[in-house]
Amino acid sequence: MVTEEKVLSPQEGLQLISDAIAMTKENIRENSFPFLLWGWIVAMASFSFFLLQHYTGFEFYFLPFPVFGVVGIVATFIYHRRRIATSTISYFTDFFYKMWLVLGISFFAVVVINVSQNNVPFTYTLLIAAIGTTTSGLVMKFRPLVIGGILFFTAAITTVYIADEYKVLIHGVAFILGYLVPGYLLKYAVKLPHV
Amino acid sequence: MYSELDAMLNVPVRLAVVSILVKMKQADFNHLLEATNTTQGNLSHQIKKLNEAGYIEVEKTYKGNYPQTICRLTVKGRSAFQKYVEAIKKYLHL
Repeated sequence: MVTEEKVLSPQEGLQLISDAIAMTKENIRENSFPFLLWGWIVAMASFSFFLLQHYTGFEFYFLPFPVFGVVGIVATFIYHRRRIATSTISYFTDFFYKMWLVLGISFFAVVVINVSQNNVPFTYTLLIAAIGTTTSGLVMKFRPLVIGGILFFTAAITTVYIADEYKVLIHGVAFILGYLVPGYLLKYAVKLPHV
Repeated sequence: MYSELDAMLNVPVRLAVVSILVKMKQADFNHLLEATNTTQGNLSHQIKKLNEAGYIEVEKTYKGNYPQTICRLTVKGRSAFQKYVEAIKKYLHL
């Protein structure tokens, strides 16, 4: 047990700093929550969009995206506020949140720009997901996320070669394979490298 | 003895707390307790001293119904840590 009274020699001080930093670890499994939340939200929005567009005459078939999106933003905001207020946060997690915040803003900007120009945005939203997922996987040293990111890149390129009406299906499947599968693997991972 | 070493930092628990906070944006009390392997009372005492010296800032909050203590390193604390490391290097001729 470490006690207060002891005064450190320079050698002991250096060793203590080294040991304390080496022991400092964060449970990066907690970072699985945003992948699970947004994986479910975007996958459900994508498949709902496809079903409404193909099998109903509903004029506002695109509504699942804004509706699910608002739910996701509110849930993310509440989760983030609670975690920031009560937990140990590493500089990596701080970077992780800020990177995904910027990518989230980019996601909505891409949707607005493409919809305004009457283009289907899914190729570009997949690319944004690919950037974030691959980067997260590389920084966490968690291979399933890296593979998920590569799947997003592949899906983005694939959408260029298929009809517009089916791009949203690729989008939904990509979010299941790229977010949900690695997200659950991250959540239940037994041992991960310290970040 | 070791007069160039900051007396506020040259004590095991306080140095461990500051070393952890150098790497973390913020750390809660339980995390520090586990990492320093000391008693709750001693850790509270050392956190109070670091806070009074302006080396760390302490935020009291709640996690559910349980009180939670969050610690963050201040600019003064980071600067003191850097000076402490430089002084150690000087002693050890590194």
